[in-house]
Amino acid sequence: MNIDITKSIYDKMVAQQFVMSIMGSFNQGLLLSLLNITDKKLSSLEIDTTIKKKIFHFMIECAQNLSRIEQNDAFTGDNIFLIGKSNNEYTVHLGSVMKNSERDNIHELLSIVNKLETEEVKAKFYSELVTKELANQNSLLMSLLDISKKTKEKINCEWVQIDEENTFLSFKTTISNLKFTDGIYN
Amino acid sequence: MESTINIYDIYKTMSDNKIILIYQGLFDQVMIKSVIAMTEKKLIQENIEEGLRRKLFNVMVEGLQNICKHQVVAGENLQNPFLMIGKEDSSYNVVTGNFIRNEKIQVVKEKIDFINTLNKEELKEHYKTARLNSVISDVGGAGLGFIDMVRKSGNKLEYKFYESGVHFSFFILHSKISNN
Amino acid sequence: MQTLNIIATEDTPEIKFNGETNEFMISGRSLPEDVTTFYKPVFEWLEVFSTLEAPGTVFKFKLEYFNTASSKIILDILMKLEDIMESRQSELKIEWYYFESDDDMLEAGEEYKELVEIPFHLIAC
Repeated sequence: MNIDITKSIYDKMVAQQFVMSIMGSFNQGLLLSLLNITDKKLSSLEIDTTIKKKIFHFMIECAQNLSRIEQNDAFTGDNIFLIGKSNNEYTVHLGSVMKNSERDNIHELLSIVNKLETEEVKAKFYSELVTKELANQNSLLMSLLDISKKTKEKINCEWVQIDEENTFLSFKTTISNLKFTDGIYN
Repeated sequence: MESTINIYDIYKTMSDNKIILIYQGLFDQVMIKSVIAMTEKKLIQENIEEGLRRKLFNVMVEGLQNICKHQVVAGENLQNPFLMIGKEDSSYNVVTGNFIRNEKIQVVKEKIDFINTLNKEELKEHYKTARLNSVISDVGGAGLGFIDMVRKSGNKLEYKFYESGVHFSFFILHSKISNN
Repeated sequence: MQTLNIIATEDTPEIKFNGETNEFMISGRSLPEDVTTFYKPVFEWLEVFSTLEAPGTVFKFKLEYFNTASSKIILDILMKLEDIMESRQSELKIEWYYFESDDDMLEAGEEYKELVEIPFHLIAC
């Protein structure tokens, strides 16, 4: 790969103000390293512990569930993790390529979860908890409820259909309550 | 929808260019330990043959340490350094990028150009000498690092400086790692 | 009574069950991918424990984080303890620790308390 191409990729990331970006298959090992790095980054930004925890929970549940989805189907590609800056806020994104059917499933579950108010999310989460049979079942609904409960916001999820069979989908959460400073060594 | 298109765009760019890992962000001793741990796991995931993987890993660690030593000190309004690992046929590229003060460019250039002229034996000798003579200075440190990268990768280093304002340039270093 | 000692890792908690010192504690972080496999020894131990006489047992939870899959397992453990308490008719209580600023952990404790019929104490630390 030629150097100019590398530079243009870097410029692109910088132009879009991504302060950290990692691509890989987020298996457990990689996820733990990712959490470590994010922890350090968030500490350097002096983010509240409560908010850090919310971010970690978001990352853990997205990554653990997205990778379970991939194991069920043919491996469709890597996950991408980004921390970006836009409008004086930081955003955390976790994206993945998946089959359209899986995307539809997520969309359906989200429409259930995002309709609920905070108290309703909590109630539904615990009622599902009591009735759910096995701990390891791919209960995406449980995870989404838990994310919503812990982040105390609607789950933000968007996608781009890539081709006939596949969609790139990403979850996003916002980090506010920061000391925003210009420049990168913040 | 705008933010998703941007993320997808980055994703696609990386995918199309066979980039297996890209980290741009804070680079200090503490951070690079985590980046190293993560990269190690990623490389294992890639099922790269062990010898090649070790070379790749060593070169990357050198590259990261170079960044730590040479990056422009915090406080300047500049972008983050980055590390990128990409696949190219049966080889891998380790790429690092960081800002550097223009005064340093000449020395770095000379060092790399010189190292690139040496053959395997000469590299070994030069490494020994440099090691014995090394004075704790920024440039001295980089010298050893570059030699190491060439020895371990088995290939010459490629580099380029991109001007960025009056005082700084962005320095990109490419190291290709192939089997034997 | 046998003991169960599992040291903590980056993604799994410390398990310290000791019949002799009467110390039963699960602490740390719980975010393994495969919760069933990790917690299997805990359930096996609880099975044995259920057959023994043991006065005044206090089970402590001092968790700093747990993933969604772990939420279910924790409930399963609590329900197993509830069964043990009911069948043995002996004293058993739960101490659920949470950091003062950790609303999530407090909330989880409050919810679990509602779900099981065991004396359940929420303790800030």
